[in-house]
Amino acid sequence: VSTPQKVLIIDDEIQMRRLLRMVLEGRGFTVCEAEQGQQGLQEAAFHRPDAVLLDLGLPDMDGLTVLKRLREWSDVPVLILSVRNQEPVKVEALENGADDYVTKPFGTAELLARLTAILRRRYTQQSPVHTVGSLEVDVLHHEARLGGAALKLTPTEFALLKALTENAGRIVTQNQLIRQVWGPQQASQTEGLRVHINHLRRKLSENGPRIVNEPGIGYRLMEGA
Amino acid sequence: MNAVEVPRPVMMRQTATISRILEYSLALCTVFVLASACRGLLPYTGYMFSALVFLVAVVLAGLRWGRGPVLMMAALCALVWNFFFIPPQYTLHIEKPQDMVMFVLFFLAALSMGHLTARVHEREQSAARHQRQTEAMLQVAQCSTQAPGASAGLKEALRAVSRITGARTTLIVSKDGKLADPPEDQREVAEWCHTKRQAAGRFTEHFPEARASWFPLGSDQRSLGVIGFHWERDALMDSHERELVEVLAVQLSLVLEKEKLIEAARQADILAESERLQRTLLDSVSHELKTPIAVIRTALDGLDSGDPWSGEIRTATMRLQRIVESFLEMTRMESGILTAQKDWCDAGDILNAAREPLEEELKNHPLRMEIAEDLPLLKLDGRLLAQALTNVLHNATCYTPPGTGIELSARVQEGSLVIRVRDHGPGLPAGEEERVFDKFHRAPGAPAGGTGLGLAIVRGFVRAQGGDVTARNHPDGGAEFTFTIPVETHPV
Repeated sequence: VSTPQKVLIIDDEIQMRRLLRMVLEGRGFTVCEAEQGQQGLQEAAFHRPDAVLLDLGLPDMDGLTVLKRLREWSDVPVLILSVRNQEPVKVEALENGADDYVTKPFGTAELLARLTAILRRRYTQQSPVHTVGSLEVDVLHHEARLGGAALKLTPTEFALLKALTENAGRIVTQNQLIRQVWGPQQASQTEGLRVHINHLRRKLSENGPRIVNEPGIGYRLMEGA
Repeated sequence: MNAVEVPRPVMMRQTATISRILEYSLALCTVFVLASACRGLLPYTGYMFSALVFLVAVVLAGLRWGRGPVLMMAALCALVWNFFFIPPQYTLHIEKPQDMVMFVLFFLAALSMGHLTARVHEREQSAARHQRQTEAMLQVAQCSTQAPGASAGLKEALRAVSRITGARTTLIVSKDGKLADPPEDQREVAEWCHTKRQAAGRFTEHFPEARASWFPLGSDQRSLGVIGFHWERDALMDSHERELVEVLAVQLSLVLEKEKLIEAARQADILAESERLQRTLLDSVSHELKTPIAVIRTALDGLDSGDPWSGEIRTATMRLQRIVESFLEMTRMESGILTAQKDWCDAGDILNAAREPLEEELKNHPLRMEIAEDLPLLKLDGRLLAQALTNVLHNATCYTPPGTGIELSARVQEGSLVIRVRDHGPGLPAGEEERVFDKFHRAPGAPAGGTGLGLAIVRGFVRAQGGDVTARNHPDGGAEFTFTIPVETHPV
């Protein structure tokens, strides 16, 4: 990638903004900032960033509202910065179009990993073959291969794996998975989801990518160790 | 508000008997006065004139008085006319046949007049009574709605009832199915009325010797209390009065019901508001405490990680973060805004989530997990349970010498998820097995660091899901924590 990617930080804490700017600029990103929701929306429209870091607790408006307004006209990847114990809020943000979240206080490595994952998503979703480590999912031909060998999957398992690989490294909420695999009428059928995830885990075995659960939120597909 | 008393209004009430006696005596007087007057005029008018005067008097009396006095008056007039006016005078004997006919006709006319007018009068009275009832109900309703504040409405309604009935009233509301302290001397009758949902006390079949009459309030399903009427000593109660009182009791029940609903709604509002406030406060405190820690951690990540100085800061920061989080969890738990969000969980997911934050600490304490092969899906709050397990595991890593292992086993037993965490450290001091779960309690001799909140939070999180956690010393050494949580299961 020749042109540097632009990241917009919407956070009311000046120290946090300054530090995030240093971290991101050190990795070759260009950074713009906003300390309030309204201002953040204007900056997003003006600078057209490649990703947005959005704090949920803003002084002028709730971060969730900022997200909803932003989603009315933009599909820019959004990474939520939140404090712990806001699981329902996190889930709501994710279901309203946020791409992922990091919990404050977070480590820099974690933040950068999440940011990279959501920036990558755009390209993954456009390509017909999703690759995660040794796993390849060919959406066009309905095939999955692990380390070159074909994986035998049921249609439900394939749909699940497709949804997860499309969002590799990124959290997908339970409801999003259920909707993608079983359709919009099937909300809150979590026991079925868990059973299929278990089957899928067994088939991916030790050397394939791991399906990591985040209690109360959803699943994340991680490259195997 | 338990028992509300409203004093008797200052007002003269003519009781029924007195007014009846008065009507009879007035009727007698009228007949006497008219007879004397007509007797004086007899030479000029003739005896037929006096018959007409008597008839008119009976009709007029019928418009004012009850049936009894009017009929008595009609009979008396007929006799007086016969005796004093129809020749031969001063005898009841009638000579001329036409006078005989006149007398009979007069008697019939007076009686039927009296009867008819009395009937009209009664109708009027009953209409007036109904109007009074309606007005009374309206008054009670109006008083209660116009009064400001919830309990003021009831008081006003009660005052209106007192004004209408002319009795001192006592309202006793029921609390949890029992009357809230009724007056000692009236306890028995009031409670009888309350439990049987029937009128009792004076003027009724039950406890007629009581000083007051008691009527139940509320619907057939639910008794809201009783109302007592303390009438004057010489008061009487007819069926109309009783009907009125019962109507008022129904009206009062409605007022009481309304007040109760308003009160319940208000309570719910207050509760929701205070919960919202607490949540907001916690969120903002949480934000304020965690932001500086986040800043320090991010800044540390920018420093050279090999630097021993920054290493010390990092350790202290992690410790500070744990303490802050413990305090916040504890506050959340104690303020009652913590509720378990149960959903189907995979036990493996929970254990992984519990282990993940302790990756660093567990390097010195190999964790051996023994999960039953056929463990089904479990319906519980995975986040709370994972957090609780993290705390117990963290404790184990803190209180046991480096290099000793930790064992964790999970199985479903008799409808409950049973998780055991066992370490190979020195174990719990004798007698501390229960106290370790107390808030701020730290076992004597525990190493520095720690707030004594970790295990209190563990117990809180487990109890929030209907389970419990206990501690003991394993017979072969080391401390053992056992979680038992009743769960619904779903086959994998």
